[in-house]
Amino acid sequence: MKLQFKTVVLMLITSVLSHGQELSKIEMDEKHTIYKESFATDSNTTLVLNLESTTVKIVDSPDDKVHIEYTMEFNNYRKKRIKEAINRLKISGKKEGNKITYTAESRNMFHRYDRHYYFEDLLIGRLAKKDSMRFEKPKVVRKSLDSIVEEIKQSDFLHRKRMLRAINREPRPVKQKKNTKLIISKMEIMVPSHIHVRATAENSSMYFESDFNNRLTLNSRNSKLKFKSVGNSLNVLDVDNGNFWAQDVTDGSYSFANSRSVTIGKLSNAKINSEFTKVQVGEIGKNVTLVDFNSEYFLYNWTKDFERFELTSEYSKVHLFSPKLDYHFIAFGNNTKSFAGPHQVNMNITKKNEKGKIMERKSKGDSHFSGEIYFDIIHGIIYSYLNE
Amino acid sequence: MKQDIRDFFKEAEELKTLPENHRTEFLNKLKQQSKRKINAKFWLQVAASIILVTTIGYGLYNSSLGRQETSPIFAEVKAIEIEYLENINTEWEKFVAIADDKALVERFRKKLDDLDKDYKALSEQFQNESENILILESLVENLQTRLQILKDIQEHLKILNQKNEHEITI
Repeated sequence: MKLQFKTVVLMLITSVLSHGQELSKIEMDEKHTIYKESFATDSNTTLVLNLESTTVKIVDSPDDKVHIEYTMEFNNYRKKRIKEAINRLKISGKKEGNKITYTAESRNMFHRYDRHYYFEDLLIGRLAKKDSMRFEKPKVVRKSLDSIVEEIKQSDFLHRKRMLRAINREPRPVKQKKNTKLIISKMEIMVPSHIHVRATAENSSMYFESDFNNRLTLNSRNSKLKFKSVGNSLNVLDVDNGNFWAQDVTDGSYSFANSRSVTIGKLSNAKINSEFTKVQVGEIGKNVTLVDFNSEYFLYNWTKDFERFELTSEYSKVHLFSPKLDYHFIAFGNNTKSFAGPHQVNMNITKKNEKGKIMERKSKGDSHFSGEIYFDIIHGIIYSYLNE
Repeated sequence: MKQDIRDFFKEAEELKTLPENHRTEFLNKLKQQSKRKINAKFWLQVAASIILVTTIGYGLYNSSLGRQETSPIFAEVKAIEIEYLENINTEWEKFVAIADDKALVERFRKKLDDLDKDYKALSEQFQNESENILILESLVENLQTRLQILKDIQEHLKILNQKNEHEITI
């Protein structure tokens, strides 16, 4: 198993490296700088981002300034068409007092899935030809933290593939032949670590390429958010529809509604409010609280000192993979069913409205005590996986 | 037959003598003739222009409509939309039939209404930004989400409502 994993990782590294080399081979006719500006900041600065139908990459700033650069490259497009494409973009940036506002709205007819690539998409397109990345119907088995992180890394491609298949299209790698019409957009924002970022994103993609510990207030709708590490005690993220992928969530408050894919590697010191969402967590750490309505949770692994985990839910489905070390589990509620293992079924139901203790697994004291799992659950289904 | 060429010139000189009112007669004739010709030509041109403009305009209008309607991606998205909406309606009816929690039904009704409003706004945007992959993804995901949450809740309710011999009431 370990050998297989190493082989897959090696293949991935090789493919990413070779794709990186191929990227540089794409030669484009024209490059236009749509927007380029740098803004000085201090500890009171807020960066306001208004994004619509666009893709942005956010990285660490090398200095104390916010640097924004948006370029578009064209291949085999007539001057008139290029001018039209650029004119249809609504890009603006300004600084007023301590507030920097950047707006990027892309209302463009040139977004054809097979012609217009955001810089990040190029890699996605290239990965498409790899047979090793085929879709598989997910099985409910304990996933390791590493496999969840790998899933997050590939998430863009898997998502794009799923979407294109839904409209009977196959993702295709970028092939540059003579006379190929091609557009490559690249929007990059460099953010210093001390400023507050307030962002709204609609039908957009935000890729946070570095660990992001700035204070972040984010409202996203129909958008894709991808983080390495995100965490700040003042973080408030509201994700409506769309997708959220983070290798590490270390702090803050997060709301998810109608999101088909929320995948988190490590989760700690966070409050999550969710509804109608599918959430996978690779490893649960300290002080995690979930409040949910009708979502499906996959809680795969636990740190050795997660201390306390709380879930308050209604009509939720929880796949609970038990901690490998000693722990205490207690559930209060009513009208809830619990399935432990493939055949054994334990039913715990109170038809009345009052809640009662419906399940408990006491600490055995035979190994290091890792923490308490507390459920307040009504109309729920709990699938417990003990030794998987 | 030989002829003296000078005789020809003499005849030509004689022919040059014109009647006294020839100028007036000529001008009258010319006036009448040109008046008739200009009128006919003008109306003919107007008619031709109207026909031409109407034909081209109608053709262009039809072709632009046709382009949008027959665009493969528009057609496919429309087909997907019809299929999904039919399934969503069917699943909604099935859900309402098995759900005995009114608050739950209301919560789902509101959620589906919100998603439907969102979908309509996205569709409008899609008309102006055809083939924008980001909008396309949002459209497809909206339909998939609606269908999935309805299927999931039915499965959930079926499991909750299953009778089991090992049932324990606390």
